[in-house]
Amino acid sequence: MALTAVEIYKFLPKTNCGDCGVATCLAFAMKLAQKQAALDECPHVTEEAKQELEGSAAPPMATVTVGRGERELKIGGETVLFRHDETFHNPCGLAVTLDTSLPDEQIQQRIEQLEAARYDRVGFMLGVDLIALQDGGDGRLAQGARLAGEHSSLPLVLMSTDAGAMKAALEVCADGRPLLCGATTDNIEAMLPLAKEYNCPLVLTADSLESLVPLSETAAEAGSDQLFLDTGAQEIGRIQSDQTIIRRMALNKKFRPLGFPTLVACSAADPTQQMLQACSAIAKYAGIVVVDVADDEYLLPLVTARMNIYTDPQKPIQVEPGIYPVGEPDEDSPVLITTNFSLTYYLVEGDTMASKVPAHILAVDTNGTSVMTAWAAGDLTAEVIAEHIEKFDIADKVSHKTLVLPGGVAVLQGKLEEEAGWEVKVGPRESSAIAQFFREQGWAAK
Amino acid sequence: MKQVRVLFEPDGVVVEGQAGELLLDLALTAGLPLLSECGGQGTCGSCRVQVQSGRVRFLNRSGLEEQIAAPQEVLACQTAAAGDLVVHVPPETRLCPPDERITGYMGPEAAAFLRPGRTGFALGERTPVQLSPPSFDDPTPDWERLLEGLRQARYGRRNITANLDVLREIPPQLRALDFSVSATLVDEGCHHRLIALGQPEQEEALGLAVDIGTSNVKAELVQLRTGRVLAGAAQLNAQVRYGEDVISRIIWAQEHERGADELQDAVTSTVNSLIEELLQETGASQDQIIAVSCAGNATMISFRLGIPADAIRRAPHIAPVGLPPMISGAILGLQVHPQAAVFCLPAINGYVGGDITGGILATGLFEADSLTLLIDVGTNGEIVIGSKDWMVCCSCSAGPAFEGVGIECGLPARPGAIESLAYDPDQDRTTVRTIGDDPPVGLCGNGLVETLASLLDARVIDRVGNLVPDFPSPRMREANGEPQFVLLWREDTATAKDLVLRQGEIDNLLRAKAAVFAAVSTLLEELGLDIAQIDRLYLAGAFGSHLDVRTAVEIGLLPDLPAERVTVAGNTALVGAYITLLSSEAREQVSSLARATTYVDLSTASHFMEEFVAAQMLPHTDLERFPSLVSSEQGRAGGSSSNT
Amino acid sequence: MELELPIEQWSDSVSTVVLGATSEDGGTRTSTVTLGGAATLPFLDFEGEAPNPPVLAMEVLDTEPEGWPEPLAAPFGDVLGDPAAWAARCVEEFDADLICLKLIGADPLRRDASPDECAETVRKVLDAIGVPLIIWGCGDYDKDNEVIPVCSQVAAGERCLLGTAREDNYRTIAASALADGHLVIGESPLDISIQKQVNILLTEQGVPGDRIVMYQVTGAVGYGVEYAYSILERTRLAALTGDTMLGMPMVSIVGSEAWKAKEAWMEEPAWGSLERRGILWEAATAELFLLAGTDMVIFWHPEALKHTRWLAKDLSKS
Repeated sequence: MALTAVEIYKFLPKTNCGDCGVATCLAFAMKLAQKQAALDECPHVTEEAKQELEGSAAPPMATVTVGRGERELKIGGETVLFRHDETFHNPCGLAVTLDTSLPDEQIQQRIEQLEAARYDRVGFMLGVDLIALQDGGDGRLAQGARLAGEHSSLPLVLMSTDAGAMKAALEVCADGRPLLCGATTDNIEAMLPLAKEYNCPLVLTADSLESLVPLSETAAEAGSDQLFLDTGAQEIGRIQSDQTIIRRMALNKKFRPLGFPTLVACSAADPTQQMLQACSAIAKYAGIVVVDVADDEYLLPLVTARMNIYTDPQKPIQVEPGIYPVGEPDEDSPVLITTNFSLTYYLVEGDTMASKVPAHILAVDTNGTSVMTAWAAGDLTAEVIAEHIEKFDIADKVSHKTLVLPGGVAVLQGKLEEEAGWEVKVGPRESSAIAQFFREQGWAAK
Repeated sequence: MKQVRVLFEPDGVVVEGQAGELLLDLALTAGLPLLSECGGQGTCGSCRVQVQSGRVRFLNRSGLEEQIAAPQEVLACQTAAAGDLVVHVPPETRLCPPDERITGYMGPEAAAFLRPGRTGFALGERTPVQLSPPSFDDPTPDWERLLEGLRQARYGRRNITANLDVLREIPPQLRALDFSVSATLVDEGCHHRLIALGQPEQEEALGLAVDIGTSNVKAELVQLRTGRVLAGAAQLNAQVRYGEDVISRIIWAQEHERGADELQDAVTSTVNSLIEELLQETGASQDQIIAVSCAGNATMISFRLGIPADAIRRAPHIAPVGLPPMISGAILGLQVHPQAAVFCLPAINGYVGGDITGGILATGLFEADSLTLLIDVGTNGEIVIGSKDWMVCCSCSAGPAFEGVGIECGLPARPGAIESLAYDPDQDRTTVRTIGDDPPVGLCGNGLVETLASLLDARVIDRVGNLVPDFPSPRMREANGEPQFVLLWREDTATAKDLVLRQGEIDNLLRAKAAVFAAVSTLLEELGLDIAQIDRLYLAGAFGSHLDVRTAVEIGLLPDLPAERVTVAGNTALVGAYITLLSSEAREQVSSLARATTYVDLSTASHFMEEFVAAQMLPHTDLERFPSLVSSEQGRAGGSSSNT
Repeated sequence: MELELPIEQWSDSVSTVVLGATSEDGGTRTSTVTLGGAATLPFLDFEGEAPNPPVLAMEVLDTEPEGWPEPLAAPFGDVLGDPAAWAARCVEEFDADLICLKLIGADPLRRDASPDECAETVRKVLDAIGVPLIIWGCGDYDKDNEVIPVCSQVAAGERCLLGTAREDNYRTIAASALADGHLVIGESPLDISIQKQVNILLTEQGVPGDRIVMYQVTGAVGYGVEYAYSILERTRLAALTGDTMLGMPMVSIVGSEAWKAKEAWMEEPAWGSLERRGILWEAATAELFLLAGTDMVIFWHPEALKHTRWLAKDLSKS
């Protein structure tokens, strides 16, 4: 059980000296309790307090780094079973397989396809995170690694149980810190030294949870802590059970042998079923998901669902400020003003879409707060709106000069007309009344 | 030492002490400071109380012990307890008459600042000084001569300064008055300032304690020498016409030319009008008021001083000035002595101001041994949790519903305001009790709380506060498309109009109580505390002391704590202003407690909105949080939640 | 090695709700549907019982949909203008466990269909199918208050699910359900407290807990699915830890929600096959809701339902 702010406070100097950058010791204790500060920020904390407060604080699940450089992934380090309890911290990595027994040319094509699988979502780029090189047992794993290094900067998963093939591939790509996948009961004695020598993370693969534990203990004895766990589950029910048991054992029971992120390799023959396998693993609680399907229509829902599940529920999510089309608006279409708090924006967008009236929506930068909150905090003012109108060239998009203001901030009407030089109509307070508002104003559905 | 218990009437306060303790001190412990004009010398007779029964020892009769058989008048400063006692304190002996419409609860820790000999300096004082005239042997200049006299008389090693206009008056005045004068000084913290010199038998120096609330402004006129409250008054803040809450007023001030000036003028006119009222009532003069202590939220204080308040509404919501430097009355346009000292209680943050630091001071929360919760419900709700070890506060925007603003039938607590209301659905009849038993005009905070509880109990409203459209009474009706319920028919009101509660107003009341409850829950959660750990709860602000705590729990305004742990504390902000008017120690204390209190911004606390929504039910969505209601409800609910 | 499994000891389970009444129970349905009953978090059968598999429903509109993208409209052929035939096809060809009839035509902003016309549609759809029926209003409080009682009456005794009851209109719907032997959907806008408030209000109005199904406004992958996902998870946790006022089964709409997302219908070569995309979007959305704890999913596209049927089977394997 984590300590509460009041319990932590008892160990602090209680001087309110402010040397930690926070006004009072209690405020600092509250930040510590919420993990928004580190104990060493207090220069006056006693040794005894340090021991009391940090003694049991070793993370129950390791954080493992795969890859190196800009596209490296930090995976694991999770602290909760349910995202609403805090957040899931390190998004699950999506790996797509590449069969290295293919001819070079096809390998290269596949790499290019995976590099191109990137999707823009209101300002965020989503895509494939890793290439999983599959050893065909023909000695071409190293060649695959070489080609991948030449044509892509994506981190690699080396999928082979053959230590020789693995070593050959590592000679080529160890600098990129690939994930070795991996060690089984049969080859662990050969794989562990490789992982150590090349300083790469290693997947432990077994056919059941029970048999994973001794593997993990063996790895621990050899001093390895950069590990992934794979139970080989394929049935979605078993994926759910295995993942939940591992997460609970790690977090609730502090069971070290299972305190690592997991890897789930999905191999259903039907691509839709494979997508469903992967999607279930993303939700609960895979660290890396490996799929064969590489077509955009399968990857798009996976990367989007992954983004959703790993969204911090404590933070308001924002859309990029800007002007967005709904339907196919033209120069006569209305211009609606709202804020860039994503929930607000999507409500307005959804209700506008449902009205079938094409429109432009101007998402004003309010640091992701709703209309009324932004107004109260002075982030949604006539001046700010007028700046956005200027900045995003609204005048070039429409031939009229009419803006629709959210009903909640009707008070801004006069000032905005003055600041922006546009006519301002006061829209509804609730976005659900947008359709009715359009009808009353004579904007026709299309 | 023998333990004794003393019951003070008519307050009903019991304190425990030791045999030998003076009644004067025991009364202070009870939070009932008494007049003591001679400082406990037994010479002035101002601390007269009546011992009803019990055993006492008389100091001024060579320690004679006596069993009191028939009620007997004694001097509290000369009488000690020798056994359990019942003591009646008449109104004229009290420093603060129990005028609950204006002022509030004073805890023993706060009353202790008023103990004779402990006060340090009042904010303003008039001190008689007897000087020896200059001679060749004693050629000390007039100014230094006066300073020496003041130091010997009262001010020791304090620095004393004076404005030039006062300095100019010294030589002629000393000679005109034969070197026997009374000097008027105000305490500006780092030094005292001499602001006037006059005849030794000048009129009493007076002070003004003011609570500048967003909706209501309240003031007391205080005799600085004795601490005696001469009169109190309350008025609606004239700023209300610029917006009901501080945010709208800040925005208004910003968006209008001279907006800030206009707001400053508005509140100045309200305070001046209160001063006029108080002077008229007491027959005192404007120049007698030499000290003013103001409690108010940071926005009100900023407006009062004419300081731009915009920082308050913008993150991180700081106050432009925490503890304003001492300012003289004339500059602020107040109708007081032109050089009167104006002290403002310090703000912790833009949303937790001097009204709250005053409340912390008044309730004694800053010295509490166990966890104490202070809830101040005004236009904003402010919450403080803490004890002598640490204090945390937050604020929420509750809206002024419980202050009677924005509610057509709402009223501040004054004669004719309904304090208590019960609707009987079987008879379709409403019974009310009003302040002063005057004909009913409207509902004050207490009345609104009871109304909600009564309407819920009668099933006139459902648990989310919706008026039940098919409720079988002509009182349920609609006007302008909005449902409303007639609480009193016109023939029963003083206004000759039906007294109605509209749906929108009920919604506002629910939101107000939900905001307060949610703020308490969120703050507890941030600290990792449970409500059951709270040992004492002070409810300050819009509610009078007759508020039935159980009813406030029934509607979920207050968390479910046993009634004996709850004190309805009234206007503790004004009590804070009053104490700081009289005691420099208290002024120092309030400054340091303001610095030591941690502010938590609820807008960054992720659970506040959820708590707010959950609290928008009567009493709450999670009945488990109201165990005492659940147990008293069993058998009454009629199988409403028994499906598993 | 034996692992001691980390099993949570839950104190309660989701209540069980039966939809549809056969002739034995005074109705005319040929089958019934049982929702809820789970004593564990979703699909963890090492932990506890989940006696009833996920229920998969299909939505039928009382008004011919306009502007449905081709991949969505295609499987239905010419029945989209005929609610009864549409419903029959969903049951007979597409394997729907039950039908959700949405009376969008009653919306004053659409056709403003009269209560009698709506009731007529309800009667026709009931006649055309043997499975239970959900009767879902148009969302306009006042109009639903007129329409639902009439529709409820023509379906009296069929143990239909009436929706939706919100804080502001629960009385009429609750009264109809009680009078005509139906069940009620309590709706809330993605807020666990409001959901509980609606349930409390319904309960205090006399609707028993085994006649309430909860509906949280859902959203789809990419469009707020994470809010609904966490609300559903929290609701299920509340049910398992003994909060009876959140202990009812849950229903999620995925068809109309998923197809609102532009990823489901917009022509965009970089997003891959338009034929498949909407189906995948709907199926992925349904999967997330099932994993979070919903008991019934309402689809638009038959293929999304088909994949989810496979998923439900695969989820029961461990």
